[in-house]
Amino acid sequence: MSISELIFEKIRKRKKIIPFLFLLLPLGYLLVFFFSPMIISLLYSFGAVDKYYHFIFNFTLEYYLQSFSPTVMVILGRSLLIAGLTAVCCFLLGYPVAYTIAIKTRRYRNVLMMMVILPYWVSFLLRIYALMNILQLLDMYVFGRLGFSVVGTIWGVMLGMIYDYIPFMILPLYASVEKLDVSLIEASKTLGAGPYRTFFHVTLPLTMPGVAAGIILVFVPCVGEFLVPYFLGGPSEYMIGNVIWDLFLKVRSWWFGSAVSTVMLAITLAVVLIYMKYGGGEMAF
Amino acid sequence: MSAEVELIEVRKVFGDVVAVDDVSFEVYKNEFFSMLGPSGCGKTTTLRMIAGLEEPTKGIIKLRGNVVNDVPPYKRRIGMVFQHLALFPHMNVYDNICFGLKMQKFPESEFKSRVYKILEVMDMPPEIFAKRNIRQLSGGQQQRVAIARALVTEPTVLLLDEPLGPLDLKIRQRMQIELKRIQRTVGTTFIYVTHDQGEALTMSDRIAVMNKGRIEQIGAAKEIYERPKTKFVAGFIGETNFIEGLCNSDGYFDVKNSPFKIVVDAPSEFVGKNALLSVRPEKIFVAKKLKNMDNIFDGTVEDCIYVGSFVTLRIRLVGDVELKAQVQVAESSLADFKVGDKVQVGWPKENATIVPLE
Repeated sequence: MSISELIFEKIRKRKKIIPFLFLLLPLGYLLVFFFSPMIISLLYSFGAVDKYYHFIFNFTLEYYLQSFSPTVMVILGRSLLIAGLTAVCCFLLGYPVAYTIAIKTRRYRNVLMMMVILPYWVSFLLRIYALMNILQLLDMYVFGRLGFSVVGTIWGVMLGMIYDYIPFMILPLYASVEKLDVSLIEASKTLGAGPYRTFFHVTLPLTMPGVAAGIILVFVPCVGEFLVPYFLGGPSEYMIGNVIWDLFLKVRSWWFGSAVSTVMLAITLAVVLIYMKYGGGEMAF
Repeated sequence: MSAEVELIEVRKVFGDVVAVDDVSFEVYKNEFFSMLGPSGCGKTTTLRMIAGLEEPTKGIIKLRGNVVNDVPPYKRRIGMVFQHLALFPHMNVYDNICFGLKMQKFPESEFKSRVYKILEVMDMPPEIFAKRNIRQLSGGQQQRVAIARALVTEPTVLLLDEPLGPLDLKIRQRMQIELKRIQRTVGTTFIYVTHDQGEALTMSDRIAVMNKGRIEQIGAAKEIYERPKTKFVAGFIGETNFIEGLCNSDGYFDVKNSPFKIVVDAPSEFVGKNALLSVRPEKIFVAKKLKNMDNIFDGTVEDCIYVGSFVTLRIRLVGDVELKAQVQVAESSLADFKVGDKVQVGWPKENATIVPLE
């Protein structure tokens, strides 16, 4: 190989390295602040750390056996159910909003999207307190007289969850509806499909990536949610996030808490993977 | 002949812009009808109103004799080929074409035979193409699928919105001939929107030339080209020379600010009025010496461009009138021109037309 060829080879190799340099910083950040806590928590869950935070050569499945107790499993199942229900409700309520903003409003779409995100400028805790106060007032003067209440029941939890997570559904839906070529909808109409059949045969399938992204963005954080059931739910809406919270901060069993966290993570991941495989549209693998 | 499509004083206003301004015309059965005009002339809006995708502000639209103003597009039973084709990217060729059959409730047992038959008309062997993904097709093939999808339900009218726009020149010319063949094969009424005058002239039985929301002239290709009725039509379709002047009652056209008198065949309504004389470059004879012609003038060659099959000359006449002329190269032994040559130009009176000033 001549010298010039060697130099070219070197330059070529260097060019290939440059994109990876840009990855280095965020990867390093994730490694330190995301993966290492997860590994530490994994070590805790197997009992490999003692209460003085010292690593010990110990391995036990005791905490996992406790995690798979019926009590924890019922609560985990309930969490998955509430999260799934929230995702479905957010989809049903969010799709018309995203569709209308993306297709029907030309001039005000940025303002409207801003309004969707606006609540996020206020602290979550503040918003959930506000919602609780409003719902308690409604309970007192409206629902109470009709013989039921919202705060402290599943309805309160669902209202709070949908209220809090619906922007995560609207944002990806808006992005994918906005990309939709309107002439496809027109083509469908000229071919004899009315509004409903156009929606189910053309619009919905083509915006499936947005639907899948929205469902996952809502479902995953919902499973681990603990503030909404804490403020708006009662004992029978106790979710897996509350279990973990209590295990860490009340029972102070970091070992048991870590094991439950790991189980929740694994099961959530499994559910998401199953969803992506069978219902995720273009996210299917 | 019965009118398949009829528009009566149709008007469309977007905000304060008049897109279509009191347009009326009829399209007959089995006709290849084109709407030709520059972008923004209202031709696409007119087509979209026929499809039902836009609602007219005023006026009546009839399909097969019935007023359809309040009929939604999915009940009009028309076919439409969109400018960017609008093929469904999540369906293969077969499903794209089958979509209309499913939606219009054709018997399921006929789906396959109908799709295969139309693919054969399109010259696309169904065994090869039916299961293909849309993204695997070339531009010309996607074109055919879009037309097949619109035709498979046997609509009585097919609307085409500049469907050949994105194709390159060679395929476009082939598709023009193909379209004409398909139209003859299926016998459907075609309404074709284009800004390309060549395309319109090649394919159409009749052409409506549109400008600024109005129809300037409707007629057969030859009529539009040879006998334009307005300055716009004469200038938009092909090239032409305009000479301003006054139509005399004695059959002469007095050129403005010039001693020239041109022999013309002016219709009576122009007599005594200022008007424009339009004469196309290829209708002008150029030679060292001309004889036996209604109009013969002396001039000087100012510019000479060789274009292969013909030569384009810019000739200044005595008295400051400039003309563009085209001479076939087959005659170039007679017409081997150089800049500065003294020549004679001329044309028989029927080679020129008179159009109003505005």
